Amino acid sequence: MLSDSEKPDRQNETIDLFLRKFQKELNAGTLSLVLLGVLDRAKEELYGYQIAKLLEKAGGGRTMFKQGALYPVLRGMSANGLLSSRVEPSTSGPPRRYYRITGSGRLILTKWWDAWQATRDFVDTLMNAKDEK
Amino acid sequence: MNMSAPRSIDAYLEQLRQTLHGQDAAVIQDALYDAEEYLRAEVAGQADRPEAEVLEAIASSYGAPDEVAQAYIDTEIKVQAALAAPAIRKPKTPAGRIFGIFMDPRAYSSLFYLVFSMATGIFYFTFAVTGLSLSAGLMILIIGIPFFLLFLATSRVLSLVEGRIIESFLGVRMPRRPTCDIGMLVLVMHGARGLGTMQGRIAKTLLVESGND
Repeated sequence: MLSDSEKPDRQNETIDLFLRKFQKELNAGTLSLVLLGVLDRAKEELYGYQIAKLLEKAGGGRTMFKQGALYPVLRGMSANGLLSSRVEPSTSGPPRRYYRITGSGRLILTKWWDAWQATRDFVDTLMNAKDEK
Repeated sequence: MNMSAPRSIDAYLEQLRQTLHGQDAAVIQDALYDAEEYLRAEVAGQADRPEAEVLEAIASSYGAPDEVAQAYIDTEIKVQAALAAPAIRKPKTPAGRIFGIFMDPRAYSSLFYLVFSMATGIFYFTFAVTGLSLSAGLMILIIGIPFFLLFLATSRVLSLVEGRIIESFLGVRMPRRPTCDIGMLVLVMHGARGLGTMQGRIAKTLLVESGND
């Protein structure tokens, strides 16, 4: 009995693991695109927590990534010159780092957006074609 | 590693620190800094709920300490790869090892840093001596205290700049954010209050004595 109830559990775990791995690989590229997009649309500078909450709201309270993963991506893009940043003290905790998109960031964003649309269209066409067969 | 879910901000940060143990000190500092910003904002935003309850929900929004640690480690690997100088062929003969130093770009950038640091060193020394002696001298007047705070803040910015210089010349990863130590600020504020009380006493004795004469 016990082994019977254990089996589907292990299978579910494996499926879960594959799903999480796939999601992580997807996020590796899309997160940077989404963050650049958010900062491009923002009228003012945003800090990490604000961005995290913005994305959470856009995702209807759920996001396909952990919000802790945003910060290292922001820092990486800032080091690459896609974003500029400024530190300002805050009342609730350590000083906040505010991010703003740079000119080269905007340029890269249009390129990435094109690449994303091409990829999405390609995947959609391929998957739908398979459905029809 | 099976750690119980953290129930306070400090416990969360401690778990994150433990999970990142052995990583570059700069990465640990950055990760803790980011996590503290998020957690404090989250707890402050939900003031009506107890901290432990907010922290329970953190694992599904911000991520559990080990997940967050992994994100930083993954990014750091990419940063390291980007920072690293192109790999050079390691010479095998003893003579090659000795004279191969002339082919190593790292040696030239280090040499340049040595010369460069003479200029920056003179500047830092002058800055520190002027800043410290001026703050000590102006302590008698009240402007000494804000001047000292300004001096501390500027030296912090200067050390971050120095960090970036070292990173580019010597290829050693440096923190990109200042440490946030409340202790120093508390110490300065206490010092200021103590100084104010002392000044008040001195002024009082002076006035009382001159009144008696």
